Amino acid sequence: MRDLEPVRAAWLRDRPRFERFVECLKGRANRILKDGGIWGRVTGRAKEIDSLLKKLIRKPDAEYDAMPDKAGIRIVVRFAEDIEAVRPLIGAQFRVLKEENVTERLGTDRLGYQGVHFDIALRQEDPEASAYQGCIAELQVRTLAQDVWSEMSHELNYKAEPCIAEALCRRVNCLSALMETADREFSAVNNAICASPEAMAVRVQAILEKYYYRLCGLFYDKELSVSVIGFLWPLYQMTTGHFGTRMDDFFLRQERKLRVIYAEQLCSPSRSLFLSQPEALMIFDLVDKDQFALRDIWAQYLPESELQRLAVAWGRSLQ
Amino acid sequence: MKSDLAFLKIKRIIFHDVPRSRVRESDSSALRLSEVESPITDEIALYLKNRIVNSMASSRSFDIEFDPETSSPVPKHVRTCLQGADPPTFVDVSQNMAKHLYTVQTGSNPAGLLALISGGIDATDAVAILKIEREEGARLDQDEVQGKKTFNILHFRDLILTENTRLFKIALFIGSEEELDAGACDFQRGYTPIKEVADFFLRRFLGCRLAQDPEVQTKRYYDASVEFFNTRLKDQPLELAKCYNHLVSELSSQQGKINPKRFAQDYIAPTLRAAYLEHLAQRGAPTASFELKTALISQRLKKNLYEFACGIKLITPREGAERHLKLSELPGGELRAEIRDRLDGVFGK
Repeated sequence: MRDLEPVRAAWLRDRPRFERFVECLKGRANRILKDGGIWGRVTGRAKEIDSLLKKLIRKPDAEYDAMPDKAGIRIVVRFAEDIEAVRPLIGAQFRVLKEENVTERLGTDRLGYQGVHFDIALRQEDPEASAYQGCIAELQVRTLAQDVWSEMSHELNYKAEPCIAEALCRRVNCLSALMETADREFSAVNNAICASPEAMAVRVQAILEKYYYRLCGLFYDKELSVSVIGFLWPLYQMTTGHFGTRMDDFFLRQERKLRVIYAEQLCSPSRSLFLSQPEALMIFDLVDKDQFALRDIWAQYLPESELQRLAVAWGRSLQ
Repeated sequence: MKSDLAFLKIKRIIFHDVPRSRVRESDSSALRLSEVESPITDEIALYLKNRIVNSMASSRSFDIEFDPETSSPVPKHVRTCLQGADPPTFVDVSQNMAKHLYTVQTGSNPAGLLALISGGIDATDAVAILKIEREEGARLDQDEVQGKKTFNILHFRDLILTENTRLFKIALFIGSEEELDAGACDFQRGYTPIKEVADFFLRRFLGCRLAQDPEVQTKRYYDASVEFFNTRLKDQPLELAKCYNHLVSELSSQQGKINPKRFAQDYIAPTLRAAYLEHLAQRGAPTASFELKTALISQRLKKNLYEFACGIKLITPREGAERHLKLSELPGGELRAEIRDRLDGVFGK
């Protein structure tokens, strides 16, 4: 029987450092999402002492020093293609010791947990690398649907009793197939909406969203966004393709200013509610481009005070 | 102002209670001075910044500069702050400003608070001076911080400088003596002749003057506007004539100042407003409010000249011509001008 006491003592000693390591990794993971302009949820934890010891009981061959999941980070994104967008960014941000696409492991004839797992450490050039020398973490990347399945199947604990497991395992795995289908359908619907000629506002929203998530991780009101984009769009008189180029250029020129504004204003209760909407970028652009036309059209639909708040955040005044 | 105020950061504030001046109290003993800065939070700093930006980025603000001939001590104090004054110096400077304000204001100037705010844009220092009117009966209590008297910034925000406060004057200075970006804005006197702002707040208290000669500004504005109308409205002669008449009417008014942004809003077609302001900026004409002085264009304001493609020139007096001259637009961009009056004479030229 394995003596757990040395491991218990070691983990009680090391855990505070790993907790700090997790916070550091969460910050880096959030930066990955922002840089990629991708919405995502980042969580993380240093393993609880009980959980670590239980794992060693279940896996007697596991070595304390080599356990990669003493620190764990999870990134949950909306669409399967977001995982593909995040993968190279993870490679650029961290030292990847191991990468495993669990979906590929399942092959063509099996169902079950999906996602992409990495064993990671900080890169040598990372300013905090020296503080976390030897620290490794497991990083999981999943879609929302994969996360729901994983969390629920874990919660149901259907594998605990072998006699129950056999009866229910197939049913739970069938649910994973549904989630896989859901992911595929969500992506297909999203792509179809963006490709539709009638969905101009949604396409503009997708352009703005890319930059919005670089600045702000907050969920936004999509319905309001489409409505605002709808009434502001005539002020541009250009194709969505040209608008995309315009926004690329706008963000390139104004990134520092935008980051200052978001860092400063987002924590203020008196900020404009539109700061947590991607169309804020469009409004900032229009304040510079043609604030007369912007005011005229805005006043027909929304309170002028909100526009004034955004203008002031932008360093301008409409008065 | 030239600076991008989105980058402005507010670091500290101190304010003093400056009552209405009375003849027997010229020794400034009636002042209630703070002895230490008011502690501020990030939220308060952002609130103050937003109020400053709202004023200084508005079309009501004027570019200003230190007046080399002033006897006001404020320019010297501002320079001290722009060189990064330490906390005791900051307090000292602000108290001296409050005393100076009390000295220069007359009995007709209402009681108020004087706030000195320091901050910066990146590595460049900035100083804002606010004078806020308050009701004489409304007394602000002073707190103690480390045994020294000061005012509670929350009272300042909630009772004095609320979102709806319009009764204040503000000046903002950014940079150094060599490269100063400065402006002033007066909400209190917003609708009365600018001379009052210039005389009391700007000249006597701040020791500053308008950055550009108002006569030159007025001429540049007139020239740039006429050029814009003649090029952009060339094919809409009636609209061109209307815009020109509005311009002359504004420039001939007694309001003492012109706000180009408001002119654009009131008289220029929505699709041309932004282009109009851009054109003014390109020609070095003011796009924010400026003092109206028409000495350099007075002759041009007396008569209107209509030049037709065929060589006919029509000169009309500015006043009363509309009773005898009827302009109407014809297809193809032509204009019909009908004159109905008694002919007084015909001369060769």
